[in-house]
Amino acid sequence: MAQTKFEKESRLSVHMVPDQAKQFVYQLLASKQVKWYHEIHETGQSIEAKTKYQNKKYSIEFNMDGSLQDIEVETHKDDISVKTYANITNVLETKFDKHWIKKIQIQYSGSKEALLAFFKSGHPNNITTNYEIVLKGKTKNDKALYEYLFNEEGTLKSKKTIIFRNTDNIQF
Amino acid sequence: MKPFYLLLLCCVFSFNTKAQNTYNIGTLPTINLSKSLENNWKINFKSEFRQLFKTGQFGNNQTTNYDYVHTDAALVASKKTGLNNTIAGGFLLRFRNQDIVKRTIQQFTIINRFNAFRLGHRFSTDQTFVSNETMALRLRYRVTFDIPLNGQSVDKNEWYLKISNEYLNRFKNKENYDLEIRVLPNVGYVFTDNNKLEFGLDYRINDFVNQSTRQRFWLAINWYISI
Repeated sequence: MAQTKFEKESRLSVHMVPDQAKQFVYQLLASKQVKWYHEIHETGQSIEAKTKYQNKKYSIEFNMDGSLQDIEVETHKDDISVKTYANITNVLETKFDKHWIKKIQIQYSGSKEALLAFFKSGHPNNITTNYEIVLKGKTKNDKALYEYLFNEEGTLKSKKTIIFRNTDNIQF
Repeated sequence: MKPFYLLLLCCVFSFNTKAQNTYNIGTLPTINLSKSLENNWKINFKSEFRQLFKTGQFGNNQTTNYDYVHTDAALVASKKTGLNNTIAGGFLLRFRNQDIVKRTIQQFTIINRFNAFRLGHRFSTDQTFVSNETMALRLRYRVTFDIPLNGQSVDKNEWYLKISNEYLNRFKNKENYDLEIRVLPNVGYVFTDNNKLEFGLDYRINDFVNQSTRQRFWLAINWYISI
């Protein structure tokens, strides 16, 4: 069953961020320009760090106590294995008459130690990799924006319809 | 774009030194009611109440007589034709003194959503009918930019900045052409996604192609409600 995606995001002062979240981000990336956000979404609340490091956009999500949820890195379809991407494409072609991929993020989850080791050495031990894809999908009756989540093999895990904010004040 | 705005600013100040350059100062509150219908249709009712507080010529005396200029009532039906596109058409009645001005409206809107802001392009035409006058045709383009003042999207109980810039080409008879430029910096507050209040300046300059510039400064207050 498809869900709808709702998110309310507001800037968070670095002083309000739990120490363990700050420490993890500074250990992971040498980037000093980190923006912190408080997010309210359909399943609860979280803290998110956003930064750009070595030309890649990182989004690191924590629980409110500072424990890590996952790391998302914006990527290109060419960085996904051919087999996985073929599986993803097959799923999307069965769902839509036509689709356009807007954004792909690789989502890494696991223990802090495993993730730190992976980002330093590149060896994915005890790490779960998912692909979060934002796409525009067209069916016979509708066009909408969706967020699809696939596992490492390209099997569909979940999908959400992205709800747009009201545009009356731009339109009229 | 920067040289263009610099040129515009120079034009505004240079026109001020000539005769017949007038200004108006007033308020322009509007209420905007929308209702979503089935199959991506929406109906919008907009009413505007224009009041003039000050009028005069630059460099000369001003008059400060209050004048209730007009009340507008517009009904527009729109249909979402794509993820980002909407077409719309409607009708406006303007109640001014003893006259009723009638206007038909057609518009096409594209709204692009970026990570931290939205950009809207509105292309529209309208035809104005006044008794005993030739119909006036306007071709309009408006670009609107809105950005949250906190976070990456404009959410409930948050402020945002909205800036619009519009160009209106007005054709009436064969020889009568005018260009009006509008700049609208506004600050808005979101009570809920379907209830927003904006206020700011609605600056309009026209008639400069005919060497008798008219500048209008409206305090705009816009209330958007979607039911």
